[in-house]
Amino acid sequence: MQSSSVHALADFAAYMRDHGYGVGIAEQQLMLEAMLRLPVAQYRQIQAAWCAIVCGNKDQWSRYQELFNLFWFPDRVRGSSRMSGSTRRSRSLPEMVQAMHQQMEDANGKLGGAAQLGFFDDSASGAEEGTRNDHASGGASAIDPLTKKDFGEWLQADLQQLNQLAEEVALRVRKRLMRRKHLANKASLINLRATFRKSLKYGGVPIQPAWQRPRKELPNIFILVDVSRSMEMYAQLFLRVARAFCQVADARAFVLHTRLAEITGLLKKRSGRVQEKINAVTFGFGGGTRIATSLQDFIGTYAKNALTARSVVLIFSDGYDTDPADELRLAAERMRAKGAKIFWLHPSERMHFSTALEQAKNSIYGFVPVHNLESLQQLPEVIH
Amino acid sequence: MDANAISVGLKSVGYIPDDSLSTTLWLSTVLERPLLLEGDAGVGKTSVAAAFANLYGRPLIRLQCYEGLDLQQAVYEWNYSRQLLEIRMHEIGTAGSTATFDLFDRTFLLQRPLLQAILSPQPAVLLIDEVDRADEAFEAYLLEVLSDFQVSIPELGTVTATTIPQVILTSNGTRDLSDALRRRCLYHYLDYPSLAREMEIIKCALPNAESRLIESAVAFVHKLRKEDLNKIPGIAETLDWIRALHKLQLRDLPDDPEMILQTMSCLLKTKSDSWQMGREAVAQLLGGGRSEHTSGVAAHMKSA
Repeated sequence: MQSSSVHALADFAAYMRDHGYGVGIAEQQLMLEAMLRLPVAQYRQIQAAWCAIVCGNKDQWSRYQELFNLFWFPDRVRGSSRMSGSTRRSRSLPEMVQAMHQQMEDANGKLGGAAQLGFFDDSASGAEEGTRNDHASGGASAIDPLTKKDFGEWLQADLQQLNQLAEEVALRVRKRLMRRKHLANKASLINLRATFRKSLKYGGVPIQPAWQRPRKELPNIFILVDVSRSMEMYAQLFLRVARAFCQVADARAFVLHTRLAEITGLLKKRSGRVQEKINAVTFGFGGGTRIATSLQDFIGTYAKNALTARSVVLIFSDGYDTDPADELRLAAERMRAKGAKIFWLHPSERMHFSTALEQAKNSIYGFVPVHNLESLQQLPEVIH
Repeated sequence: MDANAISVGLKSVGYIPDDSLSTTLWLSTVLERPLLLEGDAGVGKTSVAAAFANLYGRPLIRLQCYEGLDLQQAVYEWNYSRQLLEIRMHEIGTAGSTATFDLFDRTFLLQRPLLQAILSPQPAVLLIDEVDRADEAFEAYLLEVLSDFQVSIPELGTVTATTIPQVILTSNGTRDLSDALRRRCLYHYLDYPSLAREMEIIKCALPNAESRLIESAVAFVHKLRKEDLNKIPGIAETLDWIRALHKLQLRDLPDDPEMILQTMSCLLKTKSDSWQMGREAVAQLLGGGRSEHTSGVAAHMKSA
């Protein structure tokens, strides 16, 4: 195999890694093996074969074709543009920079892990994590600034990262809150069926009883997102977080402004039209806020029989309410009386208490700032 | 056998693959790698394994995953009752003798699908169906089987594969699978088929149905899939629906929405979907673009 094509393959692997694909040494070996078994003229089959090797989920699968064409046939792709992300856009300047880095590595005797394969005559992969970290040292990271960037300053292009994080957060909440019995105050129950099965090996004598494992149950999570005018800037982001909770933790989601509307079914769908509908829901109202009335509606209608001691209610709102001040307190007390834990998630670093919120704060379990990714990452711990 | 031969072979056993699936199956065979198929319910993930087994004349061993699936149901179990009987027989037959015998011998081992697949004298096709429904602990156990084709049994040691099975895992995406599992597998996302491919599939499955009925019904289903439904009808649903229309001895899709609504239970599987697709919505799908769409299909088929 010619060195140039191995270089090209390594560059492609690095390019895919830059776009979030998990292409390591083992995958590159497989890609090489597939390439060797197929004639280059049949590149379409190579394309499909590599796709099976480098993709790991539907999202990667659907982006693969475009990335493949962008890398291998940039001339065929017209008018493509990206707002942010990888610095390796085509095989021109970024490739040259990559080659320079590889030359520097060779000069310093720092061979990448790919050299161990025997397939690569130098550190063509150039994208081992450790090596890449060395390159990055002293320079700005592409990811870190976003974690502290206020949600209000986020661009459309940054939302992909928020989606991933929101799903991770939802998963962590699920794991932490699922355990129903944190402290068992009585002994576990015997699992009779399993005990009989186990006793077979002792001639039917139940020497080794089997115990029932404590059941783990999902908490009932309710998410209420304020989509009034004052929250317009954040509502879309919070709806994305709500969407992740709906999909991963089976939460129920609502939007509130002057009235309340359930959007769980909408958020659970994984279709391209959902975003349009979320936009319609978010920006369609943009009016005043009646949080207390919406909460009363929530308790009395939507969650009438669903609010229990296992319920967690997350309210994404800045707290500005046009209802009478004590109405919010009454609504919060009603929810608290049913055993539900209320968390108020506000989009600013420091909570500004309105009169209504000041009165209701004794019934609210906690006030959590979710103004940037870093604070969102800490959400499971705070809620737990 | 190359990818094209697999494509032709699968067609001969009644499965119509697209090029990329054939290539992935070929790659999975030559690299001896498990293949993870993801896709919505009813797009033909399970049928791939059945067709592949049929094509090569290999035994198909299926492990249906569910929450709570454990090693005793998936890998192996000791035949305790037989062991007890053996002890009793040994006591009677060798009274006073000091001879020993091994209770944990392979003769007392009940083989479950995973063990069956790796100990099969003929290379088998192992279908691990709906792996996303199994627990994470079981998924972790699968890693050893998928990467090394071996099973560890404490009483016996490591049992390595006699023949390497062709492993096909399917997932509906109800939960995210671990990266470790994904990295051990080749990946293919089975999407809803194109219009021409779906027609080919239906014609292959229902050779007696009127060609015009198939074309218009498949075109209707394709329009239906663009609607905002909770459960998008898959190939299985299309097949059921056209089979029902064929049983009703229809030669073409009826123009009356009422008649279509009577059979829509084959396509729509949730209350909200049924409610959403009322008479007006069906009429809208039937009318307007229908003739244009059908002519487009016909043109496409002709060109193919």
